[in-house]
Amino acid sequence: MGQNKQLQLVTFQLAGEEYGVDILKVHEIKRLKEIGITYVPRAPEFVEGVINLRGDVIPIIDLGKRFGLDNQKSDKETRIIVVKQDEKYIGLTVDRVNEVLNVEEEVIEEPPPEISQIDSFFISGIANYEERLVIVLDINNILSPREDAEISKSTR
Amino acid sequence: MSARVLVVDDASFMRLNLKNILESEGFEIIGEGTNGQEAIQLYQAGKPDVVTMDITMPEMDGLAAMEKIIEMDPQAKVVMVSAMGQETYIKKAILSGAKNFIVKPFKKEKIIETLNKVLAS
Amino acid sequence: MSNLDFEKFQKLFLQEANEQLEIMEKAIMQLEEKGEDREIIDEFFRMAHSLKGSAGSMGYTAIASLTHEMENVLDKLRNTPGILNDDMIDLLFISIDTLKHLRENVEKDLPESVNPEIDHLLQRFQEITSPDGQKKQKAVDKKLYLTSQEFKNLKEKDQEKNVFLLCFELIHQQEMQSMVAFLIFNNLKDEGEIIKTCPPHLEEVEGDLPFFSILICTEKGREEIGKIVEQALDQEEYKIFPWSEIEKGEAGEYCQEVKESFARRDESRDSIRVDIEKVDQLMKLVGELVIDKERLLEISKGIKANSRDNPEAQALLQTIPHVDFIATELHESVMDIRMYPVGSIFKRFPRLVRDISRQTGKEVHLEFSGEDTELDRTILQEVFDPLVHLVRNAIDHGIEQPDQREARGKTARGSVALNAWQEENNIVIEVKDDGAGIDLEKIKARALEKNLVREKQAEEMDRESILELIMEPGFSTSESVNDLSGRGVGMDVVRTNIENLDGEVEITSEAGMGTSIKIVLPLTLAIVQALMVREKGNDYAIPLSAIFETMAVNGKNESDLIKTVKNREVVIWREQVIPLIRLSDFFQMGTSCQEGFLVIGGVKGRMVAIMVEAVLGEQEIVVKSLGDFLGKDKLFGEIPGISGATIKGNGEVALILDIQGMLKSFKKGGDTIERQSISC
Repeated sequence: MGQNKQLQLVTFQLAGEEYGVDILKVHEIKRLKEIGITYVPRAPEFVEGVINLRGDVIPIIDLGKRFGLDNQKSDKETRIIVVKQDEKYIGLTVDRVNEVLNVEEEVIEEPPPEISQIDSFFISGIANYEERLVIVLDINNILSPREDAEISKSTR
Repeated sequence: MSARVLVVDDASFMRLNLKNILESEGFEIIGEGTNGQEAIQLYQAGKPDVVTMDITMPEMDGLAAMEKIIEMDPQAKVVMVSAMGQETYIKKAILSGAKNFIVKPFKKEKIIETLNKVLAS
Repeated sequence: MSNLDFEKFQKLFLQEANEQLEIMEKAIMQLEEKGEDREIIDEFFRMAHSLKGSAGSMGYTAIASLTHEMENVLDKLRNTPGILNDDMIDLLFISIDTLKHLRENVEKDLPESVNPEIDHLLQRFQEITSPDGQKKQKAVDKKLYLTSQEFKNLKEKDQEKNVFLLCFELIHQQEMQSMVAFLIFNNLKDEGEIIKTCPPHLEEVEGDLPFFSILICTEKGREEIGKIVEQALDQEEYKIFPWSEIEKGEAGEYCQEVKESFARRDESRDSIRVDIEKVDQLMKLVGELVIDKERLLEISKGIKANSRDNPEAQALLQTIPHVDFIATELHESVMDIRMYPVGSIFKRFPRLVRDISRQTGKEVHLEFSGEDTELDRTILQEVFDPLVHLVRNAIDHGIEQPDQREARGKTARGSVALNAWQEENNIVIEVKDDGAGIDLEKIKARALEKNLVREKQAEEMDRESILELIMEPGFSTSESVNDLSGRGVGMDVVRTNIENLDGEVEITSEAGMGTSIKIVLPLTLAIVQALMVREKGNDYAIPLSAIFETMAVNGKNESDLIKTVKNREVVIWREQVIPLIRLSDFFQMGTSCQEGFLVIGGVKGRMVAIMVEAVLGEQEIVVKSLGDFLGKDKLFGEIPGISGATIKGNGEVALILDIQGMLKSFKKGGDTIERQSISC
C-alpha cells in the first residue's frame, strides 16, 4: 500500500524551542487571560493553580517550570493546552501555540541524548520536518509519578 | 330432659360402641343410620338434637348428608366423626356448618364433652 | 432473547440473587439463634423458591437444583416442626456459600459447572428429606409479630371496637390439633375481623398444633367471644387478652412489635431499581444547577441596584428566589435517593461474627441499634471494610475466652454491638464490645518500642492521645499473628479510610469493661453551607459546621483579642485560650495584615481562630475534589489545610479550608508560626 500513518501534532513554543503533542491528546486550547486560575498554596512550585473545566477542577501546570527551564513571564500569547490521558485532564501553560502539523509517523525519530534542555523522560521522539526540529512530548510520562522525590523537593 | 341423638356410621361396631357410650351417659338414641341417604330420612323423621356423622360411607358420604341436613334445617347440630388424616374433609364440613368433630378411635370422655359443648351452644 | 436483553436480565438476576442470598443467610442465622420459626422459614422458603425460578429460567441449572433441594428441606421443616438440627443449619450455610460462589461465576461469565461438591450437597439434602428424618421436640415460637404500623392501626380500631388476643394451649385434644384451630378460626371469623394469627395462615396448618393464637377485632364483648371459643374447647385451654393489656404483662409473651422490614419484606412499598450511576449523574447535574443558582443570586444583586424602573428586571428578581428554592429542594430530594439505611451493611455482620467466634472459640452475641439511620450510599460502601476490621478486632482482641470472662465475673458470652445514630450533621457508627478493654500501659510500651513516641512525650500524654497511638502506622498490639486481624496493619488503615471520607475515628476504652470505637461521618459530602472568606485576593470556603463565630479585628480591639503566649499568638474567646492561625502565614503567602476578621472554628473540641482579610458571606457550595493530581497519594501531593474545592458563582474555583487539617499541620510544624514576625 505504501501509505504511511499520519500524525497530527499541535506545536507550540516554550523557552525558545518548538514542541509538539499528539492532537488526540489535546482536549482544548485556552487563552490564559480568559480563565481565572485559582492559586493553590503550598502546592509544588510548577503548579500554577486550578481551574474549573465544565464542573471539574483540574490543575494547571507551568510546563517550563515542570521541565526545569528558565522561562520568561506570561504575556498575551500565553496559552493553556488542556491535555487528557486516561480520562484525567490537566492544563499546560506554553508561551505560544504555533500550528497543527501533519507529519508521517516515520519522520519521528528516537530522541538522541542531550538533544534538548529537558529530561528525555518527557520526550517520545523528535520530528524532523522541513528543517524544523519539533520535540514530541510524551504526555503519559509527563503525567506519571516518576519523579516523586523531585516533586516533593520542589514543594518549597 | 335427655338429649336426642342420631348416630350415623356404616360400621355396626362403631354404631354399637357409640350407642353404649351415649346411653350410659343418659343420651337418647333416636335412630341409627348406615349411610347418608338414611341419615337424611332419619333426621327428617326424628328431628334429633344432635347428629354424629361418619364421613366415609357408601351411597352418600357424611359430608354430602350433612350439607343436605343443614340445608333443610340451618339450626341442625352435626358432629363429624372422622379417622386420622381426614383433615380436608373436616375442613370442608366445618366450612359447611358442622359444629365440631370427633377423631376415631375416640375416648368416652371426649365424645361426651364434645356433644355437651355442641348442645350448649 | 437478544444478547442485549440477556445481559439486562442477567444483570437483574445477579442483583436479585444477591439480595435473596443475603435474606437467606440472615434467615439461617435467625433460625440458628431462635430455633424453628414459621415466619422465618416461610421467608427463607420464598427466597429459595424465587431464586430457583429465576435461575431456572436463565438456564443456571446448578443454582436451580441446589435451591430446589433447599426448598424441599424447608418445606419439610414447615410440615414437621421440631426436626431442625445443627447439621441442617450447617448444610444450609454451606449451600448459601456455594450459591454465592455459583452466582459469582455467572457474574464473571464462567461456566456454571455441576461439580462433585454440589452433587455431594444435593445428596446430603436428599438424605434429610428422605422419610426417615429423626423427630425431636423443640420449642415453637409463640409470638405474634406486629409491625409498628399495624400496632398503630389496632390502637385506633380499639377505640371503636374491641381488639382481643386469644391464645390457645391444647391440653385435652391430642389428635388433629390443627382442626381444633380451624374450627375456632372458622367460628370466630363470623364474629369479627381476624387481624393476624400465629402461626400465620392458621387455617392452612395441618397436623400437631399445641399452641396457636388469634388476634381479632370484633364488636362482641369478652364474654361472648369466650362462649364461642368454648364451643370447641375448655376454659383452661385458652386465654383472652383485651387490647389494653397487650403491651404489658403476660400478653407480651405472645405478641411483639417489630420493625417493618422484619415483619414482611415482600410487602414493602412500591419501588423501582435505579442504577447508582444514574443517580450519580443526577447528583452531578443538580450540583451544576446549584452553582448556576448561586451565580443567578449574585447577578441579581447587581441588577437590584440599578434597575428599579425596569419591569423585566423586576420580574427576573422575583423569579430567582423561586429558582433558588426549587434547586435546594431538588438537591435534598436527590440526596435522599442516595441515602441508604446502615442496616443494609449491618446485616452482613451476623455471619461474619459467627465465623470469627467459631474460629476463636469465643462466644459472642451481636447486637444492633439504629439500623434505620441513613447515610449516603457511597460513604456507606466505603465504611463497610473499616467496620469489618473493627468488629474482627473487637472479637479477636477485645472479647475474652469464655472461661476468662467467667473468672472476671462476666457472662461467658461476650457482646459486640453495632450502633448507629445521627448527631447534628454527622452520622455516628459505633462498634462496642464488653471485652477486656485496651491496656494503656501496653500501648505506651509498644509505641516506645516502635519509636512512635519519645519517653518524655509518652509520660505527658493524656488518655485520649495514648489510645490514638494505636492508629499510628506500624503499630500493633496483637501478640499472635492470625488470619483474623492480620498482622497489625489495620487501625491506621481504618483511620485513613475514614479520614478520606472526611470522617473521624474516636476511641474510648475502659480496662476490663470494654472498648468503644466510633466512626463519625459527615451526613453527606456533596453540598454544604459555607462561609466565604478572602485572603490576598483569593477566596476560600469554610464549612459552616466548623464555625462558631466571626469577629472583626481592628486597631482598637486587636490588643484585647490577640495575645502572645510563649511566642505564639492566641485569641481569648469566651474565656478560652485558642491558637491563632493567620491564613497568609499558614499558606506562606506573605505577611498577614493586622486588620480583618477572626473566624472562630473548631473540630472535635479543638478550637482555632483563623485570621482573614475579609468575610464575604454565607453560601451553599458544591464540594469537589482537587482533581486527579492534587491530594493525598496523588501525583502532585497533598495540600495541607485544603480539603477540596468548589466553584464560585463566577465560574472560578475556590478552595475549601480544612480546619482539622490545619490544626494537625499546625501542631506538627509548630515552628511555622513562631518564625513569622507579626508586622504589617
